[in-house]
Amino acid sequence: MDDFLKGVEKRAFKMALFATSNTEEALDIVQDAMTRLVKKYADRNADEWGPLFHRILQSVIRDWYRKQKVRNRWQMFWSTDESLENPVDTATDTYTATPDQQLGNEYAIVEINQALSDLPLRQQQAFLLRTMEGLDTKSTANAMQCSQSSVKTHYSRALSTLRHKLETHYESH
Amino acid sequence: MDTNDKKLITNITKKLTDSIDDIDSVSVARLQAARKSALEYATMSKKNHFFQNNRMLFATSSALATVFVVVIIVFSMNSQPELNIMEDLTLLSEKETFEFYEEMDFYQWLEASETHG
Repeated sequence: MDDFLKGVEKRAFKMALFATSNTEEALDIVQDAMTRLVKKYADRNADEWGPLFHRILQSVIRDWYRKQKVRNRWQMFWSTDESLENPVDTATDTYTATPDQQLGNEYAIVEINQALSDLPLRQQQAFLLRTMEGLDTKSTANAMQCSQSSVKTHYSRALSTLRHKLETHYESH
Repeated sequence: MDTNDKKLITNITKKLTDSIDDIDSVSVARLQAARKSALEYATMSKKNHFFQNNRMLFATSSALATVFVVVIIVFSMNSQPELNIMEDLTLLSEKETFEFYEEMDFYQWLEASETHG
């Protein structure tokens, strides 16, 4: 189990970071997902851990997102501060490019990270699970607890949005 | 999906994969700590759950044993009147004449005088 978690923790962290744009929150989410997996499913076959972990991680991210939305609604109700509208807008910007990274192709990762962070959660999940995790449509649907057609829809929309946002930078390289 | 889309996906995937190795060392250390903490917490939870289950089993068994002992004691105490009843029935069924019971005082006096000599 330790080896398995060691193999997935970094990608899980990246995925949580895209969803929360906050390092602390992302670490909490990853730890929560790991704890749940070990506590409930350590006795399962090792080949089941991957799909189970993806499912748990996406659930924890969704739960975080829902809590943030509720929290922000209450804060908006009591506050006139417009910056509290979107948790992604108010989160600390973790994607800062060094001067070297801003040159050449390395600048693209900053654009990509920002574009991915701006995606709606379900589109973001579908896209990252398909590309970064390399899951097929069926496995992605299992992780996101939705239908395969939903996955295809989310993925397609994510790709369209990313293409539009990155088009300028991509064409120049 | 057209060729441009495929190239875009390939490019993004490569950048994302490369960025995984570029996670800062502080976050990597914290991830390791989070992993260890998750493993320890889950192990402790399982031990507590196992211990709690066994403790409940012991408590339940003790309670049942106590109830069983109490039932035995109460049963054994209640069973004595039945023996008395049986003795009375035996006595009542004996074929002694009525005169024998009338002269019971005489026989008791006789027995007492024989005892005192």
